[in-house]
Amino acid sequence: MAKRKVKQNQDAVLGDAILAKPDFEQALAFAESLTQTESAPWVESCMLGAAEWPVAVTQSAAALMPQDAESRKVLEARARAIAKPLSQQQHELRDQYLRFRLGAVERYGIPYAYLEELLYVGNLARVPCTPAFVSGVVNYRGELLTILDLKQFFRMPAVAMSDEARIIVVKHEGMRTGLLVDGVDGNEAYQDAEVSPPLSSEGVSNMEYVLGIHDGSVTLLNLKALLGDPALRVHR
Amino acid sequence: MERLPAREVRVGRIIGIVQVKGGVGRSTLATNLAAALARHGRTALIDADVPQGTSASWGKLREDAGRLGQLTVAGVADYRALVSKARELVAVNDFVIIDGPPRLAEVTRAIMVMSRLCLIPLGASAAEIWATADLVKTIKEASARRLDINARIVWNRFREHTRSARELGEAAEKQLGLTALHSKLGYRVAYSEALARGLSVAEWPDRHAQEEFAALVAEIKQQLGV
Ligand SMILES: Nc1ncnc2c1ncn2[C@@H]1O[C@H](COP(=O)(O)OP(=O)(O)O)[C@@H](O)[C@H]1O
Ligand SMILES: [Mg+2]
Repeated sequence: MAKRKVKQNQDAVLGDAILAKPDFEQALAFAESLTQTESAPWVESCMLGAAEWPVAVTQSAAALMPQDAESRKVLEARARAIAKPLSQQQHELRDQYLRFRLGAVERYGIPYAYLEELLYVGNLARVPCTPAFVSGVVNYRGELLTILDLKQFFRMPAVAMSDEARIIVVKHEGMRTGLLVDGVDGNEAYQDAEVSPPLSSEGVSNMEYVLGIHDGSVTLLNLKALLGDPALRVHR
Repeated sequence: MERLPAREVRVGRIIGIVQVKGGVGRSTLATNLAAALARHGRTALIDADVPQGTSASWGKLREDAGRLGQLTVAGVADYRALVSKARELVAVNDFVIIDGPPRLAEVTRAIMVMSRLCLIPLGASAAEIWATADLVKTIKEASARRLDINARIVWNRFREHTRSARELGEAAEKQLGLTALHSKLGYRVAYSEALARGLSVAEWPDRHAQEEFAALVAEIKQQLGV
């Protein structure tokens, strides 16, 4: 793949060759010349090893990937580099975290490296026989996403859910989890040097889940410790 | 609101947004671009990702709020409907933006051939880079049939402060043989908040998001020669 040269159009302004666009007949003909059966929607779990794919999608996911050994090797190396936790990535100059609220005022942060996306809180289906800190599950792009109530987990007082509540989808070691929070405030840049060690009075009862305090008031959570907690592995 | 001089726009410019993987930011790019270009000329946004319909729902919210202005939003169910809709809209608009589905299907192929500029949103994840390798194959297939596809990567959810993201970006561009636009979009709450409200980031109070998106729009306009 590295050796194949694709025509590169580097010009700042697109060349004359395409001024005749659009040609709708050609577009139709090209669309209809699709020979293989339509590919399945991209499989989200493709960062897992092939053995871990759900049986039904193994073939289509594999078919979507570059096939030659060399490009697979390159891509796998990249996948590993990206999957590395933030702390292991070298030469990190400045990073960002997402700042959110638990309860009305408490301010918390999660490094961007773990973030997938933010969801509105829709239909949260409660799951029987799960710990209180599991708020339930939601259907997330066709997969079941477990939602953790961080306030419950940290034994903070419950507050009524407002329409500012969001689910923060995070990913750690290939697994996605939703974190139920009371509001998302924005993003903030930080440097390791600006993060001070946590004080035991910071609201979160267990300090091992805290990376540190940024700017004197934002508690940066240690998602690696949090999501790796044996208590949370119950529902895997 | 500035309007383009009529003589410069004989036929509208089609900008397609394609990617094989879902959730990479096609609709984010499509809706924000539509809102921005509608400030410069008559603009149509075609949602070709139904039943997902993110762009169409965004358009409905915008319409309900009386914010459409020079923007028209349409949804199409298949590639035939798409091609005829594009043909119809390009005759009466300065810009036509097409939001594609997360599949390498007929719709995606039609978008790629029709578009004067084809934008491929990409985040720094292996899954997305894999998915893009498939688009590159389609570009080559088209090129073998003398159909030029002008594709540009748009880095989305980019973390410019990390060396790994920068290196990965450069490696991916080289490996895929695709050029990226210089402007990149960061991971910002503003994008999801604006999308869910039928707004563009230009209408959401995050200065960084506003600035980076304005830079992207300027670069796209320059690419289109407008
Ligand atoms: N740069 C970004 N920063 C934050 N959230 C983003 C960004 N780009 C996209 N998102 C969010 O990710 C989700 C998927 O994006 P979307 O544009 O709908 O993807 P697609 O159309 O490719 O499936 C949406 O919730 C969107 O708001
Ligand atoms: Mg979409």
